[in-house]
Amino acid sequence: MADGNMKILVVDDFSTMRRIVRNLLKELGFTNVHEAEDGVDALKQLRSDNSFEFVVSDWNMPNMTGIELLRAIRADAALKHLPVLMVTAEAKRENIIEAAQAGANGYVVKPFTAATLDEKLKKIFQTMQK
Amino acid sequence: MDKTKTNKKSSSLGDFRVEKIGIATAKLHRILKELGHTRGLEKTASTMPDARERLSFIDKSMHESSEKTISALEASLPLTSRNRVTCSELSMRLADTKFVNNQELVMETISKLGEISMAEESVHHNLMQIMEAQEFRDVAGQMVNKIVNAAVEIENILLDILKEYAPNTKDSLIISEGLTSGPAIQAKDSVNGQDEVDDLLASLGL
Repeated sequence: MADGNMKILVVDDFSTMRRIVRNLLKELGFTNVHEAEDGVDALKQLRSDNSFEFVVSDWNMPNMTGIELLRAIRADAALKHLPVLMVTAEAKRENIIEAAQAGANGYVVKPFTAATLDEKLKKIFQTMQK
Repeated sequence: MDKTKTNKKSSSLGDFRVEKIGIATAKLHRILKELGHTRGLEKTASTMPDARERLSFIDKSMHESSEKTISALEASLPLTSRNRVTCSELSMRLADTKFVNNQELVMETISKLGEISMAEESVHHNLMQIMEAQEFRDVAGQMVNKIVNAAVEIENILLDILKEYAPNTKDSLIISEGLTSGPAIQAKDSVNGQDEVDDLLASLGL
């Protein structure tokens, strides 16, 4: 099982949503959670501090969307190994396919529960260990 | 599947619709001019800022209420966890101690501590459900914003017509706000829930 001290970045333009995700992660035992309000902010934090180990990102955000962030992470040699879980209200098939093709490690549609988040995180950790 | 054929078909269908809308608009213009219905339009346009204000009020109220709820939850969740630990520690200490008197009372206390601990677990679970339920704020907020956007558009269209036929109408009615687009709820090509997302991802090898 993953380390509870794993450094996670939660990216969402909506402060209430960041709070909820932070609390759900805390419930799952992850306490080292940081926040970014859009893709630009996230990329800045990820690049200035290379100790992040996981990214949970919304899709629809101003300045830089979640899919743009995902592509930027995969295109950056220092960051491309980072697991990215998309947590979004975008339920269109084309969005899910686009995210998978861009290299997302998981996709969760809102509204979601702590149990769903737990399941997806475990799946990602399992795949990473293989 | 022949894509070009479909595209051609939909494009000529589009032209036909545009033409129809054009004819309808011209008709509307003529009727407005003839009957002097700009008053009614002006009234309709003037209700739009009010509708927007009400929607913004709903959005603001939802935000405040969610924030308050989450603050109360954040303050309460650690208490339930601590209470559970306290109960189990106390009952273990009581069970390990030899009491000469009041043994029945001690047994009852241990049993009640177990019950309290279980109740705290239920409360914790319920509090987490309340936390998860706050997500409505995100999706509902985006929906409200979409409607506000639509209201702004309708208002602009009405005002354009009014400006042409009733030059006295004030431009102050127009306030354009940059709002982010919302979730694609009930769109034709949307998946229905997490299970379908998982199926789709599995088919993509994820």
